[in-house]
Amino acid sequence: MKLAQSHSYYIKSVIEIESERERESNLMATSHVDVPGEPTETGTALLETATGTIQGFQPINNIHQHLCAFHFYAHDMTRQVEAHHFCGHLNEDVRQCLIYDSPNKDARLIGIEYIVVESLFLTLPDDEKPLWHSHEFEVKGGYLFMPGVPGMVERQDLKQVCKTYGKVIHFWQVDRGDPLPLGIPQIMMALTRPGQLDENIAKDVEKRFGVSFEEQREQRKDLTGPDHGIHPLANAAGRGLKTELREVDIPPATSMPRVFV
Amino acid sequence: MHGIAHVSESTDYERTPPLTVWNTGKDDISLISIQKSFKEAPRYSCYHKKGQKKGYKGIHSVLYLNRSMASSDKKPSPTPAIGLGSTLPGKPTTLGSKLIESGAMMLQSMAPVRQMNLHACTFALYGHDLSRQIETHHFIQRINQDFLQCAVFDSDKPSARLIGVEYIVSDNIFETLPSEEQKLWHSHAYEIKTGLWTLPGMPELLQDPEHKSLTKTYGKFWCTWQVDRGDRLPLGAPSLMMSAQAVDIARVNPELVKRRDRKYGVSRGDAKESRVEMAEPEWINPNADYWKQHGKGFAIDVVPVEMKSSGALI
Repeated sequence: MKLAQSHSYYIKSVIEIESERERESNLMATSHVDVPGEPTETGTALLETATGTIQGFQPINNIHQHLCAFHFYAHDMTRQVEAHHFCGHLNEDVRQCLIYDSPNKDARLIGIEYIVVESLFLTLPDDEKPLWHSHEFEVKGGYLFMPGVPGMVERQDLKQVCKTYGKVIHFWQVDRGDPLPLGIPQIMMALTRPGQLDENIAKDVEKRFGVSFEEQREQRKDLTGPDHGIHPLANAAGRGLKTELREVDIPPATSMPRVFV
Repeated sequence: MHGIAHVSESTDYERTPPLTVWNTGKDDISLISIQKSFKEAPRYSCYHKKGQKKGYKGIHSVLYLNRSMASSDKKPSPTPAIGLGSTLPGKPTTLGSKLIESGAMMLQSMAPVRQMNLHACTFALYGHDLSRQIETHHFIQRINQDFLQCAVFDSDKPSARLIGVEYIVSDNIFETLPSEEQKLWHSHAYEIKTGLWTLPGMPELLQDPEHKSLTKTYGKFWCTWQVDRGDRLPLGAPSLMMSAQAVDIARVNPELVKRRDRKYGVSRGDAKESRVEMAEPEWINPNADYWKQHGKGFAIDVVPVEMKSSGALI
């Protein structure tokens, strides 16, 4: 009798745990609103499968790394976004990344990041430097990580990333529930000191990816930031940054449209 | 790249002519950056002479920022980050980095980027200056029948630079957008019908079905790296791009097109013939291609503001 009871109790717990896990895996850090539109038609899908096999995708094939980090809007630190970077090296000193809102197949392309080493950052004009942010804090703090990669391997690369500067631009404000990429591009910033990252977002990411920022912090104690220290103009020079749209005059279109030859 | 050096210790910056010196790559060089003096100018200098301690000196918290720091339509101040045929600065990728990348590739899923299965080559015009035109390579992922997202590069080689992102929506979706939003979008009918837009590597006949559905779409393209201006690194605010139209100022330079067509063995004659039968959209929303009706393009400015939250970033 007792055995049967404990057996059924065990089964019940397993079922509960499984459904809990399912619920959790459906959790997105940002509210997932479906992109409006009709499902892809078969003909279109078939054609695109064909193009996918026939055409060349070298620039995309150059993307070899997935990094997860957090960005906030350069004018509003309270709006924070989980950012999945898919990065490739242009050379040892310059990387370029596509930023998605999740690591899944249905992820939305929300932005771009460029990463450069310190020596190249210093060559930027002084009015450009504020648009870039330092990576030291988020790397040393454990907040920037490579999902799926063991710590030892991860740290080899993070050793370099810790000394770099990045420029992030987002085009799709998924955190406010936009179903489409509306509005103008947003300059984003990265974590630069404790207390900035929202607790709930942090815990959610830690749970979904099975990482612990605190543990990472311990293991990354020996990493160092930029050799010259963090440049005073980086990270928006301590202020906020906002983008604005401006109309400019362009020559009027001629009244006689010419057929393009 | 060397320049004249003049080191100034914080207080007498106003008497010092604004100079900036860079000398990248070595440890024993002087590296100095002095901001131009304004009324409340930043008083900082950063220097590192041989044997001296590295670091930044000066008053970090007193920072004056210009009204608009970066604008998509203004040329950036001269620095080594510009010019020299826009060659990419920096060292070649090391073996170490390549090994890390291969390791990562084996362990990580890369699912989002694997979804891109369409490569299109076309031309784009800068929204604030239609005479500046670039060949673009779109790597496209279809989300559903009405929406596509594209990573845009300046070539289709492994060395291609990521220069922006374009989103494409069907006319159905476009009509649901507020008019303020529609102004930022451009129509695709003209560039597709005239064969400016092509799918490299695909026979023209196979391209047809895709083009039929794309003719009626609208795109929103932000360019983050103005490589045609000679920027060796991505500088400035993102720029809104426009599409070619059947109007004088929005013609794509025939030389650019000829060069592209030669590269991919595209015959414009064939392309135009097979597409001439394609149904034109009955109506293109006049809010799109805003410059056509209004003679106004758009630029983006980045301006300093008070950060919403507690405390400063540094």
